Amino acid sequence: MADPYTLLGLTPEASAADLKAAYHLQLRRFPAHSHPQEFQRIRAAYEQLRAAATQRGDPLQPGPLLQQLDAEALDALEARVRGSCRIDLATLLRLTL
Amino acid sequence: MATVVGIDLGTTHSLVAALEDGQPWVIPDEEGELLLPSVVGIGPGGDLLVGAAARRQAAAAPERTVRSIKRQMGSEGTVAMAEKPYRPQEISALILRTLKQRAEEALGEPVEQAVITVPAYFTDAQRQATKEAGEIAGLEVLQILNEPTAAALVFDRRDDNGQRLLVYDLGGGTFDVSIVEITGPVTEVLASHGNNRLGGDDFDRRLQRLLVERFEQAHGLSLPAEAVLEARLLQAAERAKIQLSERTRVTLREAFLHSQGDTPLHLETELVREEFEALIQPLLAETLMAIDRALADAGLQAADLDRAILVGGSTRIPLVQELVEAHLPGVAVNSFEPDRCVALGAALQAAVLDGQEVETFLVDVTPHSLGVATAMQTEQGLIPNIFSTILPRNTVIPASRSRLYYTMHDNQKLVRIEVSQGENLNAEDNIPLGNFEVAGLPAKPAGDVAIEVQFSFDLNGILTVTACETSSGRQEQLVVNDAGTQRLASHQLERSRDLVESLFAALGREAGEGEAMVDPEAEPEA
Repeated sequence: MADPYTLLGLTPEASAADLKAAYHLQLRRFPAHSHPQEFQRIRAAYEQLRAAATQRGDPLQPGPLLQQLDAEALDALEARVRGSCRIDLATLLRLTL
Repeated sequence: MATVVGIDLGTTHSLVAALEDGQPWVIPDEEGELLLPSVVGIGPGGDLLVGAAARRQAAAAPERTVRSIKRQMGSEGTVAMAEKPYRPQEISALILRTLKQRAEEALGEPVEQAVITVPAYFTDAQRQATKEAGEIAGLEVLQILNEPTAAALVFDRRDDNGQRLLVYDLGGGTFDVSIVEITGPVTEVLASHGNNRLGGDDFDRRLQRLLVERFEQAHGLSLPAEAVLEARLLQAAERAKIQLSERTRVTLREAFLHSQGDTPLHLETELVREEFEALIQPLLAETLMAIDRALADAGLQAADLDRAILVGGSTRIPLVQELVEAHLPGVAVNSFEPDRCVALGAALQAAVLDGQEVETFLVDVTPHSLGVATAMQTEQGLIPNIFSTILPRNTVIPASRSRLYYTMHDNQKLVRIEVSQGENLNAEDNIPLGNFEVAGLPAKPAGDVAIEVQFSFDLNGILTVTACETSSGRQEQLVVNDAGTQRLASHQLERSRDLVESLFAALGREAGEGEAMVDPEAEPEA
């Protein structure tokens, strides 16, 4: 697949607003009803870059709190839950379905 | 020159609209009525009645009248009208045929192509049935368009900064909520959710049951289950519902509803708005939950919305606006052309598809997930029929996605691809769309043979499923809803078309004064 930046005419420095504007510009050139193939490529590029931007985060926005879970405490908790639970995975799945 | 139209095929009313000088307008009938009641009937003389004339006889002759056919669309059953069975597509086609003729007379040119709207939450079968109804009526269906999307297309307070809109569409029989982002001429649907069996009809029915209780209490007897009685009470309930949107209390009178010996019995009762509201509150609570689900699917919160617009006749009920406002604090909630905007949007999209110079760009989503049935190996053995999603709900369409699956057994020769639509983890609870097999797999241990399943879904609802064994490139394909491959269906289509045409030829001929509203021979009233 073509590089999503090239497809949308952007550089990696582009902001979220630039990304949306470029996507809109392209979808106006290649509307879904008349240019389905081109539209799908543009949409895929847009979704890829949008997901990347979400992961990277905007340095100006306050990010979510990161927390480290204590692996030992987690194991102990899991053991306790499993101990108190008399159901196996298969039964659980059957019940869910 | 032929022209294109947009049609809102509603549960209780239908409309047709066209574009003139870049502006969509709803085409009225000869008497200036915009709304055609979605009621079809056979008159006492055997003539066909469509619209107001059919609705007028609905209470007196329920066995010769069909209403709310939209609720049956996509089902295999038939409805009886004057002792003859009709497929839901045929009844809908009679409504579409009437609107086609109305448009042709008003525009003075043939109408052969249309965009027809459906609830966003309609399933594949319901959409295909609607498309077929259009074809039976002699229309090429350019696109099946989602109703809330159509409404958003004609939203007129657009700006280039972009705004997020919630479209709350509560009609006669269906409910949809869509989250839409509007930027200049671009309309993008972010998520849709809904209920195909929730609308004004259900409110009428609840009110009708209350009226039966009141009557039985007043007279100390039980009403027999007679079609005429039920139809009269339903109509009385509908009238009361409409009045209760304007007034806080109404008095209902139905004379000679029943008799006891020689004594005629009347229904006379007073209803206050709060009693009606208590009846429909649980149903409206469901619509609020649907709002939350659509917002969650769009990755948004109520505070991210700029505005909510109310569409559909049932949003005239004051409680609807109150509940939506209370549920979306701080969001402006407005009613927006509740009857007309869907037809107007359909006309706009029809012009776009016709290649006219209209600055409108639409991005829509598929409301239901599409996937295949898979099995899961557990310590307890195999669990079959686990639904594996390939195209998740609210994916922008057209779309193409694929996933890899592996064989379950050693030396497995065959895989069966069962395609379905829905949100249930158990594939059997979803709606089947078709199945096919890939045979001749190489003899290898379980899990060593990979099958890539690709789903391609286009704007016409055609789903192409391709399954490919990756090592040999051996592949099989299934195309769902491709008109060209459904020859059996086209035979049925011809029969329905002949039936509708012959019925339509008898339209209103014996209908008497004032009822020949769609008769081409009739003189227009002065």
